Amino acid sequence: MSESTPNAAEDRTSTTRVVISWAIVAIPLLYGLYETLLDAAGLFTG
Amino acid sequence: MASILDRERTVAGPGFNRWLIPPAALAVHLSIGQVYATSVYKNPLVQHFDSSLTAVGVIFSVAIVILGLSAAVAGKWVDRNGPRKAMMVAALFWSSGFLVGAAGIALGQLWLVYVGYGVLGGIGLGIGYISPVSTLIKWFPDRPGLATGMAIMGFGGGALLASPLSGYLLALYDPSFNPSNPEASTASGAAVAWLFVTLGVLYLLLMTFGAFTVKVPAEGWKPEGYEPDQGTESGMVTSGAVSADTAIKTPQFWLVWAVLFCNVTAGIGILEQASPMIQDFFRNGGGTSVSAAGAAGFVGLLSIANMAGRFAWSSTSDVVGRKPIYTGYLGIGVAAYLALAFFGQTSTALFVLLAAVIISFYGGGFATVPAYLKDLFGTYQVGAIHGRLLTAWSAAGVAGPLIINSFLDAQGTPGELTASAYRPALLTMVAILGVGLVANLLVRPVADKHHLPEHEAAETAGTRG
Repeated sequence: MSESTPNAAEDRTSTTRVVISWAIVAIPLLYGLYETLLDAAGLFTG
Repeated sequence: MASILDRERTVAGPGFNRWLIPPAALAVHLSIGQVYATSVYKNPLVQHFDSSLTAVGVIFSVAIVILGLSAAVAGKWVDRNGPRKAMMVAALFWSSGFLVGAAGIALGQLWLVYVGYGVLGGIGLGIGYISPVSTLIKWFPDRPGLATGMAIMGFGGGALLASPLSGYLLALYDPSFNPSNPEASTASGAAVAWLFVTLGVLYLLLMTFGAFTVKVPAEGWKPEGYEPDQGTESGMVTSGAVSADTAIKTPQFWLVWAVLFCNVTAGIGILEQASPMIQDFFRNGGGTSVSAAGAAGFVGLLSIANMAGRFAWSSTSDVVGRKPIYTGYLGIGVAAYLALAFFGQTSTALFVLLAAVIISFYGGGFATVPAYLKDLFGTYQVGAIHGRLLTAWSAAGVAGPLIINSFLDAQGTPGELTASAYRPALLTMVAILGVGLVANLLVRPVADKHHLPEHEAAETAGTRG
């Protein structure tokens, strides 16, 4: 690690933060995917 | 404010978990991917401005052209200033594009929507698209295809999210609008203006989360247990560094430009006319065996194939190599397009399968290209080189629809044609993919004379996000 960087101090990331960060993007993404799958079902039922 | 955005303030310390970087990148790409979910309010805008579909379509064409230009122009600035500042600038442009666009709708001034969503939003799109790419590659030197695939998958996912969300919000602001049957009802201009305000605020929040989550690795950082390659035997993965200004003078840059251009043009060939195309392929006499709901489902399925291809194929490229996977995208693409042209009408399942494969390669082509550039030119200014390469996307965005529409216009009106009417257009796409395939096969390692002297690259390496 560079000694000249101001953030060179310990920067340990908690697992909770990783999980929450992924949830923030995964939930909207899965919502979009679910809605699109409902549309796509029209190909087989419509 | 400016200081906390500077690259020097975003260098990660020991113990930072690199798996925070993909969600930061996804937050930006999920937001800007909205640009491909505009159909839900196109008709309301036509009615509100008492204008034509073409005049309203110009809003989005301007945004895509400005995307390519701003990515090309701002690439070096992004590399120099780091991802946090770039993401924040992108967030402000993208969000203010919505707000100015909303003002244009509320005031009945279409030109203001061009300036807002088209120009300001387009700048946000270009800077936002390239902002996390070089950072991801530096955090994941062991899996660059996986890393950029995750982010660029978000761009495809952004459309999947924005489409139903916009329908829901429009119905909220205009209760007479039914999003499940947009042909039967049209949302008011005021509802679209409020939709723009809402999206502007939501995307500002999401992108700000990304900006304040992203960090750059410290100089000399590498993943545990990872030993950097000293270049591969074939030389297709360099350990050298090529500047953006030098890269565009090499044949490799223009060969990869041609590869991306051909791959995107061929994908647009299907995406542009997907809904009428599937109905036309299964037309018997006057009717078609594919309903409007079925055609809409086909469009949805292609969106999923597009998104999935970005992640799956780009990740696979880490294992099989960049040049071989593009040979696959283009070579298998040729075979799939030929099969579609001659046998697509024999079975709906076959038609859907072939189209999905082609579109998954289209998405894969976008997502894999930053890693291909990293292999050829090194990580030094890969963000800037990627930005310049995206002009191929802008060019294909013009050429693709032009080619497919001019062929189909000569045959009649899409939605009233038969499978054979599509054959000339599809065979043209085969030829375009063939050109891309040859371009890819001609890609060789970049000559050593283009590499920066080692000390020069090393001096700046630690200051690049």
